[in-house]
Amino acid sequence: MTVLLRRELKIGLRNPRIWLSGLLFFLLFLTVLAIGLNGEAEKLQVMAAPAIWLALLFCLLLTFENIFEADIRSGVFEQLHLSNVSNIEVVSAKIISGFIVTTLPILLAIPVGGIFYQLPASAISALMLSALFGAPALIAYSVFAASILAGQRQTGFIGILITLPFLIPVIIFALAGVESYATEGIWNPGFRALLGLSMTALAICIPASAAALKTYLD
Amino acid sequence: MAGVRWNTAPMSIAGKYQQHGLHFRDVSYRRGEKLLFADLSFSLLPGEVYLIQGDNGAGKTSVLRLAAGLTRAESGALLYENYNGAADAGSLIAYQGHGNALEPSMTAQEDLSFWLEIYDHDTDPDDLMDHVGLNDQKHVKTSALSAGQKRRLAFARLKASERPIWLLDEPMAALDKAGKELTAQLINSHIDIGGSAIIATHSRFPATTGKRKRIVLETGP
Repeated sequence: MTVLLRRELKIGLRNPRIWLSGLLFFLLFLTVLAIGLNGEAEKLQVMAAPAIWLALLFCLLLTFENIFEADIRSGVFEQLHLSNVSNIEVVSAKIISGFIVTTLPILLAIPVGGIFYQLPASAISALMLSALFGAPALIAYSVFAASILAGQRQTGFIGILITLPFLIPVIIFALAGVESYATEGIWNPGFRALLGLSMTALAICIPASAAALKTYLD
Repeated sequence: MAGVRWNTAPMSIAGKYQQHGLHFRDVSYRRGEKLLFADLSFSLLPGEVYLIQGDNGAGKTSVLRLAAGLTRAESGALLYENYNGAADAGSLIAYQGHGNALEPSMTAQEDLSFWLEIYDHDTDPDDLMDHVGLNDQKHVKTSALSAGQKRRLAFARLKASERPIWLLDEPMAALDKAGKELTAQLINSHIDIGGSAIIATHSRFPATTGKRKRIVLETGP
């Protein structure tokens, strides 16, 4: 597992494209939307939290959609299977490395987005916390979709269609948590529910993805 | 597979290779609607080389993938044995498919070291690279290696796995004369220490040591 994780991190660091494309998508999405809102401060502040969450959601769905593709095409995935490496380990390493390589840069870019939308510092920290608590759920469901679609060509939007229903509660609780952060602090019900969703998503999606990848091999 | 008992002589280092077997018992395989082959039976024993021949689409690759446990048979059984009886495929099989399973952003040495860590073998990667003639490419990214060099690196991984049964899918494809000679030499050195191999090939295959057998798959109607 640590061997796999080290490999994934090394690959991530050597291919800046992997995290840079997600980061650029995130910032471009927010910029275009801000332009669309005419840059009016009132509208921007209202739209900031949903906009940043939508950007985060699409960003993670798109970056995790093809996470198994390269290893399957090159044959690395089969070789790992033949070396008695379990799919649970493969999936876990992908999730942890994906969090570090692609998600952390986006979390760190949230303040930049917040400045575009003229948010106060407390709102920015609320958004960063919500993203930190909710990202594991987004990643887990995206990885699950990727494992179901592994090895198929031209999946397009199917991954997004599969995962979107599961992601709706995540967005609802994230935005509720952001709203009540100012009055109720970090352990408000929204954030607690969000953390719960993330834990559940990981607990379900890691074994489910491992099983989905196994059917790919058969 | 219960009740199958094979030779149970004590293990030695050579014994790790010298006592193994892979047995196809009446294996049939279907791809989609089409039955590719039916009731295929053969036994692969130490020092043997099986050549699987046939036209494109006859099922050569499928035989290898069945042997590797990467796909399932329609009917029949595959039995694996090692020095202490029935074994699982994972401890015996090294598979070289169409892809070389290399990570483009790693250097040749890093890639090989990764697999050595996965296999949990403390073999020196440099020795393996010398063995396959990649001494000068150790720190070259695998994406910058030529087709022949990539194949050599894949062979280094096969050797690193220390598995007695090599399954090779068109190992001579895209290789020049020197590459083919080296490949034959690597296969020979594997057979000489008691290993065995199943090789899928659509063309004539150069001479190797060991006992050679041949299976020709007919393309059905």
